[in-house]
Amino acid sequence: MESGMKQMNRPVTIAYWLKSLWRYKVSYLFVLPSVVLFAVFMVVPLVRSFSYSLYDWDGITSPQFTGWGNFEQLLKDEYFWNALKNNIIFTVLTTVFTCLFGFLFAVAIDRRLKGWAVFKFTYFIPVMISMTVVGVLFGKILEPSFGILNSLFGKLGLESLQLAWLGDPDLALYTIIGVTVWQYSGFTMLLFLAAIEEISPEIHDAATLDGVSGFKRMTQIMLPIVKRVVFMVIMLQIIFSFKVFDIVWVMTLGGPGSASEVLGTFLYKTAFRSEQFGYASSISVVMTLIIFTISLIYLYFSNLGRHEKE
Amino acid sequence: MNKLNRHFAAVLVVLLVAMLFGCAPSSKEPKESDSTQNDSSSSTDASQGNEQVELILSTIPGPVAERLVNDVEAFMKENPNIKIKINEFPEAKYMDQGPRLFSSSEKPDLAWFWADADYKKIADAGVLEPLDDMYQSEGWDHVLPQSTIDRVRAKDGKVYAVNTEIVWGPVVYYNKAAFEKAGVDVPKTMDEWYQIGPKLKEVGYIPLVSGNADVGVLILSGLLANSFKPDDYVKLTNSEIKDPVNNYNHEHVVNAFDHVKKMGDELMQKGAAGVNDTDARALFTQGKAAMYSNGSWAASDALLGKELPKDFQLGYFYYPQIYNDIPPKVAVYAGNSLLVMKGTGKEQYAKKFLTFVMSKERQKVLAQNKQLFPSRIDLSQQDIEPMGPLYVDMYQKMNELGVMNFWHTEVNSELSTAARALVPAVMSGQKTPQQAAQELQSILEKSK
Amino acid sequence: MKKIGMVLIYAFLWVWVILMLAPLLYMLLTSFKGDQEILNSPWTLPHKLDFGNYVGAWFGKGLTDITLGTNFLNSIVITVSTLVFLTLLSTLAGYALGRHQFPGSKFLYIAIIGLIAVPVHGLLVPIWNFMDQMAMLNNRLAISLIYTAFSLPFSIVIMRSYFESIPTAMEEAARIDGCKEIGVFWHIGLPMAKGAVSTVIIINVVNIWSELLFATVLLTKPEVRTLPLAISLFSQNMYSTSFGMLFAGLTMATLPLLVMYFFFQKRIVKGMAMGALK
Repeated sequence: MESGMKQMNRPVTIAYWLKSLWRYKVSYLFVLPSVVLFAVFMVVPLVRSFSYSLYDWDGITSPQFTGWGNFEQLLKDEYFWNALKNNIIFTVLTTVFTCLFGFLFAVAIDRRLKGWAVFKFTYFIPVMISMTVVGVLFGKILEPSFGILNSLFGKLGLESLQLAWLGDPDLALYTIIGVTVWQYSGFTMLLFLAAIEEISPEIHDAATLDGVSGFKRMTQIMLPIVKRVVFMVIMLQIIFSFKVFDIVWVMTLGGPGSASEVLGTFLYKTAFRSEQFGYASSISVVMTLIIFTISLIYLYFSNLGRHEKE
Repeated sequence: MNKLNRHFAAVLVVLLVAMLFGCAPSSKEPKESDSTQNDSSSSTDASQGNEQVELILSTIPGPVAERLVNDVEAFMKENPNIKIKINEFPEAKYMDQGPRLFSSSEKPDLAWFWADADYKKIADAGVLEPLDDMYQSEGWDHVLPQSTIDRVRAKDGKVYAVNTEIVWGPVVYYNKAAFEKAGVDVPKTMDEWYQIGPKLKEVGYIPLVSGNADVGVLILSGLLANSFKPDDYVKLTNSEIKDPVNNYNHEHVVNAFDHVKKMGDELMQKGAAGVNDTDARALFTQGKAAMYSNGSWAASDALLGKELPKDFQLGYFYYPQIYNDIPPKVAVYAGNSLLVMKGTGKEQYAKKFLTFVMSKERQKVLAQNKQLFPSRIDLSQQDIEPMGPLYVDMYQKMNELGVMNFWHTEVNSELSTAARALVPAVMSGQKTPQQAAQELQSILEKSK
Repeated sequence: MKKIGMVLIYAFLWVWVILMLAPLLYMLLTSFKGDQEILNSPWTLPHKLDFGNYVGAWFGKGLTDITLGTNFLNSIVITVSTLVFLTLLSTLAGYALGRHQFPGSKFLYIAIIGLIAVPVHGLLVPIWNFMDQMAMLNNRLAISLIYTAFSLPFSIVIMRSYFESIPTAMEEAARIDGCKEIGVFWHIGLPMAKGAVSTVIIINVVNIWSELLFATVLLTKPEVRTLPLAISLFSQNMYSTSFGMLFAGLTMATLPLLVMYFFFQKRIVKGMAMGALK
């Protein structure tokens, strides 16, 4: 249907607009409720919070206009850069490992390795548990003095592994990454599985005939076919992990100190602990812009925006 | 992108920019027309008389809530036409969101809150009901210390809150049996404190635990209180005068952070920087730690009182002396208060409850319930005795040593928030004591 | 060589099975233990199946007369209505974006992907202000709509990519037969999307059910609070060292979702298979 393209040469007047509106009224109707919800609960608040970022405001008394002041302060704030650094580490590692494990799990299930039904059932269970529960549960498991993990190491004689998982500033962030990978590998697995199962059996039969082994089959045959879904999953994981807040907050509050601080927790603390809403909103702006940029770059390189009928 | 899409984009951008500049944030000062009510409540609103009235009281859980429950139940018996519902909020969230809640359409009628900087802001914003008349009519101005009353005074000179209980600290609770086993005594100086560490470890205890992740700042407050003479301390904690000598560049402040680190390294367990108060207290009540640092409220029946096994011998001591010429003190906080919201139409009933809670009888009952310490100073020794020997002893000792305000409740919220993170940061080695002190100093210098 | 590889792979897979189940088992077992037992013998099975912790958690401290049952109901109401809205709106929008060509569709799609980028807790204050002005705090319908808005972008992306990938034959036939667009959608498109809808539901249900930040801020009255929120009251505050009750609360907050998972599990299998069969 090339109707959109055909009209490129006509003058773009209001009448033309109204005509398009009417002609495609059904489509617009279909998307209308969603657009309304977006406008009310996401776009308007987003714009509002962007405007807060231009002010110095503590939430109760009168705001004061500062223009770019908050952003200048942000660039000089060592806590911001620390949070950004931690966020990037978190995003990269979480994405890499959840996608890697998820893909491996999906292949194992698709190829019907022994016990595949168990795998399929079990790996997704952690996804169904809320992040808060996971955070509190692992907080108790990883407690250095009486958590079961360290006491297990003790029983096995592995005293050197009895680390302060959440109390050691060098470890805290990676511990949280580990827990996140634990929880969400099943999520990526599900998405990959849907795509992999679509690969027609004939391709697999041909590969078997040609004697293509497991590993090769996975990387050289399956992967290219599901490339599109893989790209989408990776992008989604990047976006979701960049926005992380709940799990870090529950497990360490961004601590100890600010060892595991990420942008989300930094945002919350600035807004509600130090009462600097303007400043916090500028963090929000920066976060949104970063994620948006990442997604745009990603889309551009993976051509996901196009209608591909492949 | 074809022309149509470009037009879409243009229109959208224009709209967004318009919204950006049209939507400045607004202050929360309530307008004259603000007279909201419990729309979902089923009671009819009565301006007076014996009609049924329902009040909502917001608070944090723990000893505070348990005490309020007792008072509410007794009050409702005496006043059958008034029903009070208690709304609990988790402490951290309440601290963060309280002011917003109090100026919203869902505000409670009464609230328990801390009389700190946030309180001043909402008082100044006109959200609360002034209580000056009550201080006079109920005689509160005679039974509360002047400093306590001045603390709740807003810019317009009126008072908008009344202090319902006092808490103090930091207090180090210890396991007497553990001390006996290790053959150690209560330390009188910091050095002595470090010395009993290894002996306690030898008999299998973690010497000291504390909620460093969430309430670590108490340790800092305690150390600072013992690092400055009273007059200098006042200059230090007043964030508005930037005293040239008594500020965070002072070597005693750096030393305080040094002690924070040393306490973590020598007296606490691995990873202590990340432990929160609940887990720390659990280690103490389960007999794995010999000492537990918190405040006077931990001794209440809602906490240690109910969590310790019956045969546990509980002792306490205050933070020991650091410098020879500075006698140790105890920090006290008289900011736990009840507030009445303005514009609910039920202020008089709310005030009635305040009168009830602050009455001598109820404050005596507070002592009997062993939850928190009464704020009225006109109670006799006999009245306080029901709190139990430990609590009474703590109170007497505190008065002997002399009190000062907690550092973290006196300074502005930026400093206290920063300190909350700095204590675990220093303990875990992320920041040096010098860096921590410097950071506080630069926050002080930047603040207005 | 190959054999060792396979052994390693199987080891990896089974270790993960244990890793994923162990913490949950721990949570379940501990919820039956008394506090002393928890710290002193974390590894053993509980002495007896003591439901005391559950009773204690369920009836709370008696401060409010709201039991966890009410909170449970609230959670169900909010979650179910959100899911209903979500399903409806995301299938409609996904269908239009994936099937219809209309001016601005590409732009809208990119904008929607952009919305996934928004860190929603940055919107806390503006949304609070807005709800406050509209006096819609403590309004379960309002919070339902908010959750729908937050979950829509991702769901629309899923639905759109699903609709894009299925063949148009049946729809063409229906159109030729004179079916209007809405009819095509309702009778053909929607039934075919059952698998994708299941996916959308499963992916979103956890986040909606256990959402804490906005629930804490927007639902201040105990009678409208959700279950996870009520439970967080005694897991996030400093005043309870009763781990047994805490774990009982955690288990209670988790069970409904797990039950949902068990039911929907078969559906997903069917849905995916249907997609595969085309």
